[in-house]
Amino acid sequence: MKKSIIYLILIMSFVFADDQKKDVDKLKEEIEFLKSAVQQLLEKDKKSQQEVDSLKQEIGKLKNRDQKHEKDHGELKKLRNEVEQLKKTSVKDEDLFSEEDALDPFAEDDVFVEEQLVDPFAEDEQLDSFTEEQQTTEEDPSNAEEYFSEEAELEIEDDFGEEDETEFYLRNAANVQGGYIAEQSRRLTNDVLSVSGFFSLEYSDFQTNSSTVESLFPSEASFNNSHINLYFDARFYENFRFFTELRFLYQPFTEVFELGQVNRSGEVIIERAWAEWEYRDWLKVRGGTFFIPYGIWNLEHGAPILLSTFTPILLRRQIFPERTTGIQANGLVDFEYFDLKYYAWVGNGKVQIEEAALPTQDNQNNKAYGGRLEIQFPYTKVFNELAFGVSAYTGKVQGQEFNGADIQNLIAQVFIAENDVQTIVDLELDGFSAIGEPLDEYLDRAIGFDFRFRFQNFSVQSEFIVNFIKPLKTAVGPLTGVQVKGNSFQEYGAYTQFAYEIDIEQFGLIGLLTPFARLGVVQANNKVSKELGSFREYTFGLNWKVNPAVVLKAEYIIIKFADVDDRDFGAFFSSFNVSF
Amino acid sequence: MKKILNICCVIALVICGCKTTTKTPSEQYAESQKRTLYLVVHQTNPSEKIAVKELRRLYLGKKGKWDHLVVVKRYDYPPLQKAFYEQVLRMTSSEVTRYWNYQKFMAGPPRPFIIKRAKDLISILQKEPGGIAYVTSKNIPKNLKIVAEFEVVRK
Repeated sequence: MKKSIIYLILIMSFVFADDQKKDVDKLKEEIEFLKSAVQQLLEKDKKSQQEVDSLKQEIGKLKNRDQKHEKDHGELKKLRNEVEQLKKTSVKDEDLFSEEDALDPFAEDDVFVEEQLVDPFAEDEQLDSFTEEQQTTEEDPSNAEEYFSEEAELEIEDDFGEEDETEFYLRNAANVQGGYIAEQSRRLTNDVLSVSGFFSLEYSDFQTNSSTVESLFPSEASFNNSHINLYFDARFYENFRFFTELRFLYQPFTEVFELGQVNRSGEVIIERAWAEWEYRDWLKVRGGTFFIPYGIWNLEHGAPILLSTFTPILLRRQIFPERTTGIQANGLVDFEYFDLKYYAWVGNGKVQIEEAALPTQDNQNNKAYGGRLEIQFPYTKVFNELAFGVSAYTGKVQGQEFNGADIQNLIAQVFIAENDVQTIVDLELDGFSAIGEPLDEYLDRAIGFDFRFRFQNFSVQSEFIVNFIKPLKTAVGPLTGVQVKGNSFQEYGAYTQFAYEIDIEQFGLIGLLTPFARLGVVQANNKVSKELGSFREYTFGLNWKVNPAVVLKAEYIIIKFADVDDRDFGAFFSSFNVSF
Repeated sequence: MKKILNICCVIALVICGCKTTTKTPSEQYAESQKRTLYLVVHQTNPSEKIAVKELRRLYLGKKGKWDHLVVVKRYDYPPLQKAFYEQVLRMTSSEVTRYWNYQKFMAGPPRPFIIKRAKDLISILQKEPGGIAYVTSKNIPKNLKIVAEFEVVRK
């Protein structure tokens, strides 16, 4: 029985063992499947973990950016407050005459934005971000102001010290000192030609009780476009420069006589045209047509910077010629406490413009020579605007060739208008023409002294000129037919001008108002033509500098002759000057 | 009585002390606007130090060439222009304006170029052997060098 049971068990075990093997295989397969599934899951988990990490990083970055944004906003508010405080506390410090005041601060902002768009130094990233920002701003115009200020701060982060400065500048553009910023920002650093100039509209009204004098001046008050001056300044190579000033006097017409009695007059004058070679600061050589370096007025040539409209009669007499064509050397030498400027020139002498084939052509072989020395004290505190000058000139003049200034002609014509031939005869018998000049060739020499000083708002300038004339030839008088040679003589003249500049902003007005007074004396050829050659000139006027580019002037001049009161006259001059 | 006087003195001293140490908003503002101006030139420029007097001559166009005969190119930086002229060159705004107005009509030297951005200024100076300009950062490229520095209050 036991044996049968054992056999039975063995048989069953054999039977079931086959089934169990099958189950184990199945299980193994299932385990393998599960293993691969778990592995896949683990990989997925890993990936998702990485995604989570990167998302966390992005969130962190965003958080930092928000914090920075908040910080920037805080600083922005602080800056605004500071600017407001500054505006309240330092209103008096604003320089109303810095030329940049004319700029519109909003325009500055525009310029800034434009500059960013075309800025060659801006990096590509900046440009891209700017474009994006611009698009969002366009979508929401109400954010424009905020956008500009934020953009300005973000954009300039690692500029060289600019981070703070540019922001400050943008907010205070109107207060920053400087001039012609708009003009200059358009200039390239390598430009070779600049064009500038000025325009003057004058109003003149001569007033006199003397019928003979009255007939010689324009009797009607009149407006004149007396100056349209254009400057061209070319620095075409490092050491070379060309400069010219063209003046359209009244109208750009030469004299035109037509059958219909139309007489239009006007001139295009080449005031200056020279080329310069610079060796050092102490030696510059220029050739061409240039103003004779003498005194103050003739060098500071330009209506917008001169206080008065009417040039002192002393200078209109052209004892020193106004300009010449020739060669000039000039330079500046600096010493410990002062600067020394020098000029030396040689050029054509005085010629009568009407008779010369060309105004810049000489009519003799002798040339005129001259020079000037000027000392300035720019490194001192009180006298930094003090200057002394001495000028000299010598040359030969062909008799009666030079008619001087228009005022001299007028003097001669007074005698003619009054049929006072006797005076002219007397002058001829002494060897002089009606205007007091020798009848023939003479040696013409002059020396001039000048000084100017400005202390705070007060300024004074003065010029004194002595003319030495020595007749060289015996001449025949055109009226008398008598051969005569005049004696040497001297004539002199001087003027002194005082001015006081007032900032009229304090009275709620705009600009600088400068009242001025000028006293002039002319003592021409005293021995023979004292009657008309010697007089005093009194000028009282106002100069209103609305801004550095616009100047209005008004003045009244009184001329008092030495001997004859009847011929005294006055004149009112006014002008509107614009420089550009 | 003495005690009262002593107490009064102490209170007065304390008040005075407080007054002197407390700064007004405008003083605080001025304090915050302090800057150091660095005068920068090209590395090839032989000048190592530039004094105020020479700087004035350079910026007013009286000195047109460096010692190595390169033409001077002057640049103004508007955010610090007022501080530079007033506190370094000792010239008021109206003096500067008047000076350049006169130079314009007297055919004098050209006024300095105005560069509105410091970054541009540095870029130009790097390419300009005769250039000179002022910035507020010491961190300048290797081919430039600082020849003077001044403490100013930005205005």
